[in-house]
Amino acid sequence: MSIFKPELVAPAGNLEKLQIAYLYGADAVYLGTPVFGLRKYADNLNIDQLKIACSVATSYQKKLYLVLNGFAHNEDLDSVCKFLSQIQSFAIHGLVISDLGIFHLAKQLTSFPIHISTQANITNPQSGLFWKEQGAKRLILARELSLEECVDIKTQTGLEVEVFIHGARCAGYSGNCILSNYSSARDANRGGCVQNCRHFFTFFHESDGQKVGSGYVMNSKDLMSIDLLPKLISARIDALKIEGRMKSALYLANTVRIYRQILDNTTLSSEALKSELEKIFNRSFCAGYLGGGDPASFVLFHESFQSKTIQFIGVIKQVFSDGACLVEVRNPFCVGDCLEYLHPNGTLHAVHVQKIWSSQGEILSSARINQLVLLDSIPEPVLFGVIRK
Amino acid sequence: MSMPKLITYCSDSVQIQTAIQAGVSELILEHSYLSIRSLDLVDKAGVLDPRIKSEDDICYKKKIDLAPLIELAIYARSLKPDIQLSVCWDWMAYGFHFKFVDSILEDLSAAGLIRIRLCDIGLMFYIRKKMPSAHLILMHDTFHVNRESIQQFAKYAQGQVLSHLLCLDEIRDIVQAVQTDFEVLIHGNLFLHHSPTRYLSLAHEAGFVDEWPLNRIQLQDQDHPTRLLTAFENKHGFFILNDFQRCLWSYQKELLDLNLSGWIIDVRGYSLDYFKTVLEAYSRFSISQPKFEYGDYSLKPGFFKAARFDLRKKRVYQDYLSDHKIMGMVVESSPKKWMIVELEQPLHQSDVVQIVTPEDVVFSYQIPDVLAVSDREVASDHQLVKIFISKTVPPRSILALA
Repeated sequence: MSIFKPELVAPAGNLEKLQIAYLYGADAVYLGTPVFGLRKYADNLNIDQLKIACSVATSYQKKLYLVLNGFAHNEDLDSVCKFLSQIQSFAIHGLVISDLGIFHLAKQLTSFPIHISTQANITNPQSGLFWKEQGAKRLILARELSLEECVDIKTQTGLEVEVFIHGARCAGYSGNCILSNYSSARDANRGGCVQNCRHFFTFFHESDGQKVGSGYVMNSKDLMSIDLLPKLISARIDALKIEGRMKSALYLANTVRIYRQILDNTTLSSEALKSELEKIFNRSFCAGYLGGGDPASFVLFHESFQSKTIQFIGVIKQVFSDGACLVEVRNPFCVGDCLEYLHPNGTLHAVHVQKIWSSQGEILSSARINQLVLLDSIPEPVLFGVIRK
Repeated sequence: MSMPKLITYCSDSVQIQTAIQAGVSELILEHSYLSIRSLDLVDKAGVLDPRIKSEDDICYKKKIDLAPLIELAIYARSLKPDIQLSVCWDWMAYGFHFKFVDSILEDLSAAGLIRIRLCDIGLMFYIRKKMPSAHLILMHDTFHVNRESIQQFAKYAQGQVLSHLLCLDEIRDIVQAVQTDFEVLIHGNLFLHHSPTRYLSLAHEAGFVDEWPLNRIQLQDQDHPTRLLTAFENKHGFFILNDFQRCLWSYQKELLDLNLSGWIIDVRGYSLDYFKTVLEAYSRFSISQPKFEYGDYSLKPGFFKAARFDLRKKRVYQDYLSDHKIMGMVVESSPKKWMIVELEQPLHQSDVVQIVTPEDVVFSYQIPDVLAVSDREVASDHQLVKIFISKTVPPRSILALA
C-alpha cells in the first residue's frame, strides 16, 4: 500500500517563480492574474503568460490553480465573465474562488473544478456542506481552525480539504477585515491590503484619553507547521498550502524544498530544517490555531519583523554544456565570497567564488544587482536554480 | 415611495422602551452569547471562543440560557404588541457551536422569535434546513457585495443587509437587479475588523497593556495618528470600529428613492441620550431639515457617497504587463549598446516591439537582429538573447507586442 502524501501547493507571482516552485518540489502552484486575484500588487500573470504557465505545468506534469478569490463588486463582473470565457480551454486544474456570485459565473462559463478560498472563512462543516451543494471540489479552510476541526469538516463534507501550513497569517478573519479600505482606500478583499495590523498601536481609555499601553499588538507571527506534518499526513489532509505570492524567489525555493524533503522523508530532523526556514525574512514562527497552541504565542508584540540571516544572490538563467552558467544577480557579491546553491534535489552546496565573468566575457571582481554574470563553480547547475549567501 | 421601517439594536429594557417611544418599527434583540458585538467585558468563565481552551468555557456546557433574551421579547411586546422583533445571531460559527443550535432554535421558536439575523453561511445553511419557517436576514458582513452573489444568497435568506462598503450607485444597481428585502446602515459605526484572537488581553498578559479588564478603548495607529479607532474585546473575540459615525441624514431623498425595506441605526456602546436623539431624529425624518448634529461627534457618510478604492496613479508599465502580449523582459543592459532579454515568446529579426521601461517610458523598436548571449554551447532551452540598441534600456524593461 502506498503511503499517503498530501499535495504541496506553492505560490507563484510570475513565470520565474512558477518554474522555481515546480523545480523545488511543489505538486501544484497557485497564481493570479490582474483580473481579480487577491494580490493586486503582486507580479500577476497576464492571459498570454497564463497560457505559458499552463504549458509549463503540463511539461512538469504538475497542477496549476488559478486564483480569483477577491469579493467582486458589480463593476468587476463584466471583466470576470470575459476573462472566464477566454480561459475556458486552458489546462487549468482548478479555480480558487471565495465569492458566491463568481462561483456561479465560473460554473456557467467554465468546467474547471472549484476550490473555495480561505477568504470565504469556512470554519464549520455546515459551511462546507453549503459549498458542496453549490458544487465545490475542495475547501481551503480558515486559518483559525485546529487540526481536529479540519478533519471534522473533511469527514462531514466528504470534500477535499486544504490547509495553510506556512507563511503570513491575517490578524483577523480573512475577508472580514476592512481596515485597509478605511485607512488607505485600498480594498483588502480585492487585493489591496496594506496590512495595518502590522503597525505599532497605542491604546487610550475612551473615557479620559489616558494611555494604557502600546505595541505591535496585532502583528501575527508567521505560520510554520513542520512539527505538524506527520499529523497532517495521518489525518489525510488533501493539500498543504504555502502562503506568499509576493515573496521572493529565495523564500519560495527554500520553503518548498524544506517541506518537500519532509513530505518525502518524515524521519528527517525537523530542527535542522526549521533553522533553514528561519534564515529567510519572517515575523518569527508559530504553529497557529492549526497546532492548537496558546494564542499568546501567536503575536510578535515587540517588533514588526525579524531580520533575515541570508541574502538572495540570484537565479540561474542559462546553463552551458561545459557546466558554466549565467546568473541573474539580485544582490551583490564578489570574488572570495562563499555562496550557497540550493540544488533542486534539496541539498545545499557551498560555492566558493573564485572567478566571475560578465555576460560579455570580461573578468570581474564583483557582481552587481541587475547584472548577468557567468560562474563556473556551481555544481550541477540547473535552470532556475537559486543561489544565496 | 414609502418610508422604510426603522430598525435598531436593543440589549436592555430601557433601550427597548426608548426605541418604541421613538417610533422604531423593528428591534434587533441582543443576547451576549449570540450577538458578537454585545458589549460585555471578557469574563473567562463563560467564554464562547473555542480558541481559548478553558474548562469553564461555555462550549463544555450543555445549553445556552436564552431567558434574558426571551424576557426582552416579552417586555417589548408588552409595550407594543405588534412590534417586529428579530434576533442578532452573528456568530462566526465553529463546529462545536452546532451542538447548541438545535436547542437555541427550539427556544427561539417557542418564544415566537423566528426572525434571525446572521452572517455565518454554515449557520444560515443549517437553519434553512432545520427550521424552514425561520425568516433569515444576512448581515452586512456575509461577503455579498455584487448582484450575482446577492442573487444567490437570496435563495437561502429572505433579506439582506447590504455591505457598508457599497456606495449609493452600487446599491441602486443591486436593488434594481435583485428582488429581495434590503436594509442599509444609515447611522452608526462601521465595523472594520474581527478576530477570534483577543489581542487586548494577550497584550496585557505580555505586559504591553497596563490595565485589565478594559472597556472600549481608543486605538491609535502610528501610521494614521489622527484617527482614533474604537476597539473592544468580549467572549467572541476582538473588534475594531471606525472613528466616526456613519450618518446618511443628508441623503434622505436618495435613500427614499432606493425603496429599501429597512434602515438600520446601530449606536451600540453610546449613551442613552445619543440613542434616543438619533432614533427620534430619524423617526421624524424630514427633507426640510438639512442637517443632523450631536455635540462634537464626527458624522460622515462613510463609504455611501463613494466607495472608490485602489485609485492609485495608473502605471503604463503595469498596464502593459497586464494587457499586452509580453515578448520578453530585459535582464541586463549596457547603456546605448545592447540589452539581454529573457524571452517569453519567439522574437525575430525585423519584429517591431514596444519597449516599456519601469519608469513608464514607451517607444517602438524594430529588432535589428537576435543574437546568442555567449559563444558557449547552451545546454538549457530557456532563451536569453542579446539585442543591439542605441538607446538606454534599464533592466526590468519589457518588450511587448506592438
